[in-house]
Amino acid sequence: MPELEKTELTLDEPEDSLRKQSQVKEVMKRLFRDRLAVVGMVIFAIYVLIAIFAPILTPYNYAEFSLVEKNQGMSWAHICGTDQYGRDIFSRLLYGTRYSLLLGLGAVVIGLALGIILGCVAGYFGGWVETLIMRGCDVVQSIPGMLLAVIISVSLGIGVMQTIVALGIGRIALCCRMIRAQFLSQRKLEYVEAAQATNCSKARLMFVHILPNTISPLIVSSTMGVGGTIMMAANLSFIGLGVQEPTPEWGAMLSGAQSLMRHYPYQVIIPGLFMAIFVLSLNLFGDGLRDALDPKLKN
Amino acid sequence: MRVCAEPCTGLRFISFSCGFCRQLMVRYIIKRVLMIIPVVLLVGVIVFTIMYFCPGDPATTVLGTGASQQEIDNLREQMGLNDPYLVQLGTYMYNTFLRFDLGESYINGVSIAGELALRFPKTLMLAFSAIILEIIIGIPLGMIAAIHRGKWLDNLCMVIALLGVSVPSFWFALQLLLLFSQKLSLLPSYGVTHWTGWILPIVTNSLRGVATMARQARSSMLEVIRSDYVVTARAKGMTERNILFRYALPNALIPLIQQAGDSFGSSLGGTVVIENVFSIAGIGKYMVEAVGGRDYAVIRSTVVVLSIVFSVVMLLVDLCFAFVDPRIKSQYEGGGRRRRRWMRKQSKEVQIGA
Repeated sequence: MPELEKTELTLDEPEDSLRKQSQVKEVMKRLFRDRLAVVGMVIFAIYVLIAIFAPILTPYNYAEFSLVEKNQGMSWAHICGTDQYGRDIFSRLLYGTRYSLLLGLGAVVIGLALGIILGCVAGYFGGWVETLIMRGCDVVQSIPGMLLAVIISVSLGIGVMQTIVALGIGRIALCCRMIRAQFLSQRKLEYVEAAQATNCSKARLMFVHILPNTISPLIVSSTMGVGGTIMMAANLSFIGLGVQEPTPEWGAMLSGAQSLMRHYPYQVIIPGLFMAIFVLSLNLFGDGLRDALDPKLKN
Repeated sequence: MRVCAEPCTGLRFISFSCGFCRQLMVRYIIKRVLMIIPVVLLVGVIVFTIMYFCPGDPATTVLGTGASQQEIDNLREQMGLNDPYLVQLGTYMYNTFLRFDLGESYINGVSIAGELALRFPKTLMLAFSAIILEIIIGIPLGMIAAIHRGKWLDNLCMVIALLGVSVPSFWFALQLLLLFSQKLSLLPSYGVTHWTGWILPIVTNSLRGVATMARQARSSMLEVIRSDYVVTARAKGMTERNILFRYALPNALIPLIQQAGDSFGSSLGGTVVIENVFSIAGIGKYMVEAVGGRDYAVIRSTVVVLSIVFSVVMLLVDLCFAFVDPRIKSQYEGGGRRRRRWMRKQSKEVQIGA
């Protein structure tokens, strides 16, 4: 008897130490070791804080015209100068963070939510359901992303919610394809069979058991996708769709300042830089996340 | 039909001298080419459907705001706008894909097909030059970074690539305009009458693609360099140069071909903005003018035509795969129950014969 107890103890010990190091904790540890990723996270956090506290931080009302002060350069009163209607560019930039963040996150969340559901269904059930969903993705993806966003926003009209939908629909096919590819590699694994043997419901099996094992490439692509979507939203505003004046969206600001570029170049340089730093921070964070989630780079 | 006696069936390699393999390949190509037809037709349906929900009345756009209600009603009847959705869709599909008639602009009545044909070369020039720059700049940049991993050269290449991915292309275009045409007066700021006019548009349109390609090339190359066959080749005493060009590069190229195809799509989309910044009379500028004037017929046809071009390029990419990646052969075999049954029968016959 004592011998048996001993073997049980030795079996238990490694299991305990394995359980202590959770996957999330390990990934976070690796992520925080990556200096560039931390820089990206800090910058992103600053932008989020700016978006939340924009009314407190801005010295002026972003929509207030002041024709006496139009097209002023940088000064202590107006840190980034004023635009053609005398509005304070710094205040508009800070408020613009709200819109860009909303557009980027909103579109990516739409893409993720619908893409995950469709991808799970296609990957799990296979057969004609999969064929139908995947051919649908093929068709949507054979329209270049920017053009799809253009026609949807022409049809839905101008506005923040409309633009989120226009940008989100293109991402659905992308997410669906990624999830389905991951599902195919997981579907035949033993843990799936084990769950099926315990009479686990299909929805639970898909979303609770398999999905967490397939999600990591999608997290990385969505992080980077937020940056890409923000740039695409700016492109849309620039060609007269998407979010338009007087909303202080960065693309719309650039578009408005383009005609004055020869005389007041700072009106174009500053909003673009502000946007580029934001996208850069998301890319840095995404790169770090990818390395942290990659099991091959563990050591 | 002759069974391939070469080890090609077993090892999943194509040998071009083998008739069986060649036949499989030809079948794959035909199948892939035929598959593009339903995709293109469905793109037409989707684009038509999305544009069907556009606000505003095309008849009013054609006649202007001064027209009487009677005139508008007559034109609506004439344009078929009072027909049910399915009839309109059918007419549109019939005109576009069987008669190759893209219709006329709502605003000035000019044939859309003629206008697109005039503008097409400029847009294609922009999009294709982006792909070429990606291949001749992006891939070497990524390879250099991968070979010198962790050193300053790697960091330099990757910082450049990261900036390239993060900078909005039209903003970059405006900065280049400020610097080269305004401050230094070296390059023209609009139009492409002289070849120097092409430099800035091409650079800005390919920036994002080149940077993405460099990043992809680096990670793809690093993956290959770590693989077993490269270690084996090194252990055999092969020179680094040989390993790089004969073993590592061909394998690293496979995901990059896909990347080049994908970025063709994004550079086609990019031309919409770039052509407007530089005032190039291409399809993108045509489309944005149509957006401004609510000329839905033009927007619809432009998107359908550009999507067809994109689908054809993706088809070429897939066919490239078939030649570059021997593993694709499993896909030729994968087709059809009849083929599998045939293969099984053949292998039985071989066993009986042996």
